[in-house]
Amino acid sequence: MFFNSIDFAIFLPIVFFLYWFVADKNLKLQNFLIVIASYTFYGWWDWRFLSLVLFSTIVDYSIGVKLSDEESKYKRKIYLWISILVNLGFLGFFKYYNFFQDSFVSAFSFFGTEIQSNSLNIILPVGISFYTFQTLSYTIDVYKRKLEPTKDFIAFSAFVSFFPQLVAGPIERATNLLPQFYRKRTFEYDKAVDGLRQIIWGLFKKIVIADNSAQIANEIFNNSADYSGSTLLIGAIFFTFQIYGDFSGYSDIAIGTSRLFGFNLMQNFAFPYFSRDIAEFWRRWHISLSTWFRDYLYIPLGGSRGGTRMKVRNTFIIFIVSGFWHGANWTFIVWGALNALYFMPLLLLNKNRANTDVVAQGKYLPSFKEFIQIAFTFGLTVLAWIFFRSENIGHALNYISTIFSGSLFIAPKFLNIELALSTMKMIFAFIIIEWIGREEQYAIANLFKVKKKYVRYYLYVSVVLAIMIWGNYKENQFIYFQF
Amino acid sequence: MRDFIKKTSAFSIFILFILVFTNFYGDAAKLFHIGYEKKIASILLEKKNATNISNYDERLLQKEIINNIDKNPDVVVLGSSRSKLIGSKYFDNKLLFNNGVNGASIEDLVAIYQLYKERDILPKKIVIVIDPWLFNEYNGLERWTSLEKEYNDFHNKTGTFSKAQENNFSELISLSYFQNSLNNLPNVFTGKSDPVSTTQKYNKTNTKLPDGSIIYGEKRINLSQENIDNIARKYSTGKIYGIENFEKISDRNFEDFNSLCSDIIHNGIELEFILTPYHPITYKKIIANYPCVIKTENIIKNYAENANINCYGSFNPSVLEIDNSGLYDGVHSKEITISKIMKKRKESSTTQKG
Repeated sequence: MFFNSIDFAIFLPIVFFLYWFVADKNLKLQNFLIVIASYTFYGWWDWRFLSLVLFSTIVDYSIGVKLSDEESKYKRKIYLWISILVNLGFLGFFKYYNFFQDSFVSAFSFFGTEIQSNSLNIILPVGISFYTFQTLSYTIDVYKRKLEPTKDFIAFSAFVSFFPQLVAGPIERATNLLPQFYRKRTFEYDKAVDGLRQIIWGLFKKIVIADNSAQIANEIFNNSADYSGSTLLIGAIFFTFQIYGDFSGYSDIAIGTSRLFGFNLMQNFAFPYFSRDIAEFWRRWHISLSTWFRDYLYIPLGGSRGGTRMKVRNTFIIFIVSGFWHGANWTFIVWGALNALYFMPLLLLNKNRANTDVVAQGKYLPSFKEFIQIAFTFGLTVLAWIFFRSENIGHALNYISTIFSGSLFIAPKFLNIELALSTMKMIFAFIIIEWIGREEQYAIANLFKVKKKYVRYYLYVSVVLAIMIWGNYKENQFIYFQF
Repeated sequence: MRDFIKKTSAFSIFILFILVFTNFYGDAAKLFHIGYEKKIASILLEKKNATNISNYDERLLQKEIINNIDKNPDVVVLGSSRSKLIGSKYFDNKLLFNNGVNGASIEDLVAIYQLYKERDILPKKIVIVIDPWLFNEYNGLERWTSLEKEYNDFHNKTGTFSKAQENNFSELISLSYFQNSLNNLPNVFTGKSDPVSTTQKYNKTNTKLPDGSIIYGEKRINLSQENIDNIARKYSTGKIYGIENFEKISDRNFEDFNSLCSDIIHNGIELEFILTPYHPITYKKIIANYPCVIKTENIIKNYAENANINCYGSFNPSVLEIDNSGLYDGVHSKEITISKIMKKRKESSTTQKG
C-alpha cells in the first residue's frame, strides 16, 4: 500500500478509529491492532512476503530470549551470528544473489572462461533492507547488553512490522522504538496535529516535488545520448530533488503517521542540501541509516581509533557498504566510494566536524562564504547522484563526460518545457520554505503555527490545494521501496 | 480527541467538497453532463462544421448521429483517431460518414456497425482502418462500454456491465481528473465550453466536418518538425498506446473481427481495409519491442487476400515512403500521408477496373 494512494487514505482513518476508540483501554490490544494493520499494509503489496517478516520476527525474538538466559560468551556469540546470518541471508538471497552471480560470470568471461549463468527470477520483497536492519539492531543491542530482551512477542512483532516505517524507514533502533510499545499511549492533540502537518508536507514533497522532477529526470536519463550537456546537468539536478523529495517525503509521512498513534520516530532528514560540507551532508541525509552504520559497523571496526590508515579504511568500508545497501549494482558502489573520496580531505584535515550547527542560525540569509560552501557541496552531491541514477557505470561516465563537454554551453532543451518550467518554479518555492524552516524538525513545523485560526487554515488548505493542482499523478512509486 | 476528529473531519469534508465540486462542474470529459453530444450532433446534421469540441463521449455522438441520419450513406469509415482524416473528398464526394472514435477497440467497430444495422441504413461500402491493438486482448481499452448494448446485440447476447458507470463515479474523487476539470471550470461558468457551429474549416481547435472527419486545430497544424519529432520521441519512450503486453494475436478479438467482416460481406457490403503508418521513431521501437504489430499487418493482409478484400497502406512508414514529416506525432498521420494512401488506393482500384 502506498502512502500516496486512495487505499491508504481509507486505511489510515479506519486503523486510527479502531486504535483510539476500540482498543484504547488495552495496551496489548493496541499493539495487536498495530500488528494486524501492519501485516495488512505490507500484504497489500504482496502477501507472500509476510512470511519473511514473520520468520524474521520469530528468529530475532527467540534469539533475544535465549540471549537473556545465556551467560556463556561463546554461546551468546553463536546466537548473535545466527541472527546475523538469517537476516543478512535473506537480504543476500533476495537482493544480491543475481548480482553476485552475474559479476562472477563476467569476471570469468573477462579471463576468457565462459561459465553457465543461472540467474533466478527473484522478486525483491519491499523494504527488506529496512526491517532486517531494524531487527538486527535489536539482537546486537541485546547481545551487547544495551537493551533488555523483550518477553512480549506482540510488542516485538509490532516493533518489527510497525507499518508507518516498515518499508522505507526511518530504520529505528530497538532502544528508541521498542520501549514505546510497552508504555500506555494517550492521545495528545498537539502531537496528532503536528503529525498531520508533517504528513501533508511529506505528501507535498513526494507528489509535487519528487514526482514532477521524476518525470523530467526519467526522460533525460533514459535518453541521455540525445541531449546536450546543459540539459543533462539540469536532469541531474532534477533527480537530486526527486530523490530528496521522494525519500524525505516518505520519512515525513512515516513520522507524522506514527505521531497520530502516539509514537515518536527519529528525524531522518535534516535539510541536507543546505550542508556546508560532505560530512555535514551525511549527518543530515538518511540519518537513521548513517547512524546505523556508524554504530554497528564503523565503531566495531575500530572507528577513528588507531591512526589515520584505520580511519581511512573504515570510512571507505562504511561508504561502500552503504552504497551496496542501496542496491545490487556497481553504480551504487561507485556512488558510495565517490562520497568516501569527497569525505577524505575533511577526515585527513580533521575538519569533518567543522559544521555541526544549523547554517546561518537565526539569520535570514547565509554569508557569502556559507553560500559558496553550500553550492559546492550541492554540486558534489549532484555529481554523485548521477552514478546512483544511471543504469550502469558506462552510462554514468557518458552522462558526466557530456556534461563536461562543449555542449554544456548550448541552451538546454526539454521534451515538456511547460512541465520543466513549472517544476523549476515549484522547486524554487520549496527551497525557500525549507530554508525558512531549516531549524525545525521539518520545514513547516513552526511556519504554520500562526495564532490566527483562519490564517492557519488558509495555509493548510493552500498546501493541500497545491498538492491537488500541481501534483503529478503519473509517477507515484517511492524510489526507496526498491532498497 | 473530539476536537481533533471534528476539525480534521471538517477539513477533509471541505477538501472533498472542492474536489467533487470541481470534478462535477468542471467535468473535463463530460462524464456527468448529458446533452453535449446531442449539441454536436445537431450541428453536424445541419451540415455545419462543429468546433470548440473536446473530451466528450464519442461513442454517444456516433449513436446520436446514426439514430438521426435520414438516408443510407454510401460509405462508412470505422476506426480510431488514426482514421479521422478520411473524408468524403477521397470517395468522389459520395455520401460518407466517418465514425472513427478515439482509441477504438474491436468492440467499438462491432457496436457502431450494429447501430447502422439496427436502423437498417447499412451503407454500400465499409472501410475499416485497422489498428494493431484491435487484436491485443490486453489493450486495456474500455471506452467501448458506452455502446455495450449494441455490441451485445450484435452477438445476440443479453446483459450489460456497469463498468462505464462505475468509472464515471470514481472520477468524482480522481485527482488527475481534478486537474483537467479545474482548467475547464472557467469555461463552464462563462459558457465557453459549448460546441460552436461554423462554416470555417480551419479553427483554433479541432473541427468536425459534417461527414464525421476532422480537421486538426491550428496548434497541431502549425507544429514545427522539431516539435513533432520531440513528441514522437517522448511517446516512444513511454508505453505505446494499446500494444503493451501484446504477446499474441488474441483468438477472441480475431474471432470478433472475423464475425464483423463476415456479417458485412454477408449483407452485400463492399469491405475495404486501410492501414495508416506510425512515425518512423515509433515504428523503430515497434520493430524492436512489439513483433506482434508486424505479425498483425501480415495476418490482415493475408486475410484480405483470401477474402478478396482490398487492403491499402501499412503500419510501416518506409513501405509508404513516408518520413518524419508525414505525421503529427508518434501515431497520427498528416493529411499528406492520408492523401498518399488514398491516391494509391484510387490508382489501384482504377487498375483493377481496367
